[in-house]
Amino acid sequence: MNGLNWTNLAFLLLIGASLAMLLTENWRLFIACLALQYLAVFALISLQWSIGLAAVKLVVGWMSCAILGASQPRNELLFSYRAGTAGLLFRFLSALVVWLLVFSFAPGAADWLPVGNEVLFQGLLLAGMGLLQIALSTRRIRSVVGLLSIISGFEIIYAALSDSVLVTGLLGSLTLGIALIGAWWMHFLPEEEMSA
Amino acid sequence: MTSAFLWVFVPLGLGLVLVSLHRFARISMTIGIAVCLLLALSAMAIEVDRTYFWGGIPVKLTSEMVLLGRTLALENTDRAAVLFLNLICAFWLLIGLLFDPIPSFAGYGVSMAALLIGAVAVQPFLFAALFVIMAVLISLPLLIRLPDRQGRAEVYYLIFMTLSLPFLLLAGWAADGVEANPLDAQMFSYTLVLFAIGFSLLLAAFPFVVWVPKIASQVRPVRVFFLLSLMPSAFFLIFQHFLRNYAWLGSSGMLSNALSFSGLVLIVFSGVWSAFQDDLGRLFGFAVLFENGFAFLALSVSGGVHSIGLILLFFGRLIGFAVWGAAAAVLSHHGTSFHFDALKGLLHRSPAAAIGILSAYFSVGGLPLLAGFSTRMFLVETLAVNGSLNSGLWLLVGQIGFLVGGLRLFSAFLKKKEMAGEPLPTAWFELLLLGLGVIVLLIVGIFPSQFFGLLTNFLAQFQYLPG
Repeated sequence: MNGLNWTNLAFLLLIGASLAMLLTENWRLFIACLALQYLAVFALISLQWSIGLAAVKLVVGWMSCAILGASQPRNELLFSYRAGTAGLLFRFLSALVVWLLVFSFAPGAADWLPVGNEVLFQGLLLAGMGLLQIALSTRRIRSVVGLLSIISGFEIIYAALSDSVLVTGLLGSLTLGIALIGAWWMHFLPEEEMSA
Repeated sequence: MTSAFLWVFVPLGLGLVLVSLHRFARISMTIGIAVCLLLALSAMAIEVDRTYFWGGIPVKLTSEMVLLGRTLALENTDRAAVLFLNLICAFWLLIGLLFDPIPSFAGYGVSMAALLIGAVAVQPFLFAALFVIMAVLISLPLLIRLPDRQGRAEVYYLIFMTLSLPFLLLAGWAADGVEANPLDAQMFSYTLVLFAIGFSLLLAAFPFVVWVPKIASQVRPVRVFFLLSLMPSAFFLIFQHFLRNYAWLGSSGMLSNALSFSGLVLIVFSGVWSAFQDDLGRLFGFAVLFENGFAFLALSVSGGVHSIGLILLFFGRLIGFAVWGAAAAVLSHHGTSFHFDALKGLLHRSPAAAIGILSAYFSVGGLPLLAGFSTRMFLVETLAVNGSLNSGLWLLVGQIGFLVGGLRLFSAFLKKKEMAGEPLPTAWFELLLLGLGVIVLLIVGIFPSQFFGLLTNFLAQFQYLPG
């Protein structure tokens, strides 16, 4: 498979996983999509870095998924949006708006960030979906996963700018730390009854 | 041995050990206090890059440590920050030990202080953001809510802090670009914007302020006072460090204007909102924002390069917060809610706590004869000399709003005896602590030149003074 196809496949995976995470109300599917999203991030970063260094992102991401997955004792526990079809449609339309915004903003940002249009688009799209995840829900777990998505989106862009081992290590620790905090919250802090 | 190893990695390791002592809260907190005081003492006594002879063996604390291609460097000028942050940590651990012994407080607190010192030390400077976020993550398990409160303050805190990271790292990359090509005006503007957004998120500048009053009202007082004393102090020191490292950013004059504007907006916003609060916790949150506004203003009038003014400003602020925090801890210890309705008649029920809170509040508000007055006066005078009449008027609006909030609090405390509940039992150490705090606020307020003169001479040892 040549580089272009690999990129397209990873990009489609990224879009599909981030959208599914936004729409799904199934806990297992949610975590599976997060794992797929990290696979896509790894694939995209491996185009910039060596496979070995890029694999750090995959390992750390999947470890985060494992931590979050292990912390949820029951399926669908305090997780559903409870907003029905209208809510689903609203979230899908919001995602479309984010895509459009990113699509219009990315070329301008590419003027001063020397990372290439497509890398910028992928990174900003993931970060935008993460921001949407945070904005549309009051559930702690969704906020945590939204933050993880924002960091992943940033990592895609930053990988094209710098390949510092220290930054990779610290960002990896940060990802794990956020996942651990998310797991700790779910375990120790009861989630109040909220609308979304 | 390197200074970063002694002041960053040793306390980090000890912090981990202390977390493992979670079954023995009082022991771990006592050890934590001792560790912080020893580190503060070492920062005071040991000069970096100077050879000492211990038992005939030459020992030297070198300034630079290389870690995975990056340098951690704590120079003599950074010793004041080490001293300052460790003293804050030691004080709040002591208050925690007295009023709210928490199993992991010492471990997390010592580690947070170490990471924030690491943020000051790391080179290139922009990697500081990563250390800061690590400190934020470590602080999160401490943020346990009060039993009668619900909300997601800790989530907002994590979100805002984490969002600053991409902006600061990108700004660091862009700043390297500007240093390589100083004539690139477009890159210069982008760098400034990225820095502004990143630091605004980190320093809770307007409009990224929502988490501060929320966290102040929802989390147990000792922990929140610790967090909001340590974090903003460290962030402003880091910010000042950044301004020193990237002095060219200030050359356009845009930075000074932005800092001044940001400070004024924060002062007016927090001052006016303080007048409408009905909760002591939220009021403290707005007081933090109010103080942050003055810190921005101080950085703008000093050109952002002299940290001595900042440390002096922070000393006044921290004394006020310490007295307020101790009084709030006394109230929380007796299960008193922080809503104004529950605090009615507090002057009759617990005069020491009420007087402590009021003196601290009005000190933060800059009332004459209290510790906060002299630094406020200095700032207002500087603004007047610079001819910023509009700024002075806006400052007055914020100041009046903040004082109205204080008067409402005072009025609640003054309610008639029959409206108040049972008197709160006050232990001797509570009386001693609050009494001492109020006396210190008054002494600093009445003799500011002597106090700040002593402090300035003390800080001059660390070569903070220019020339």
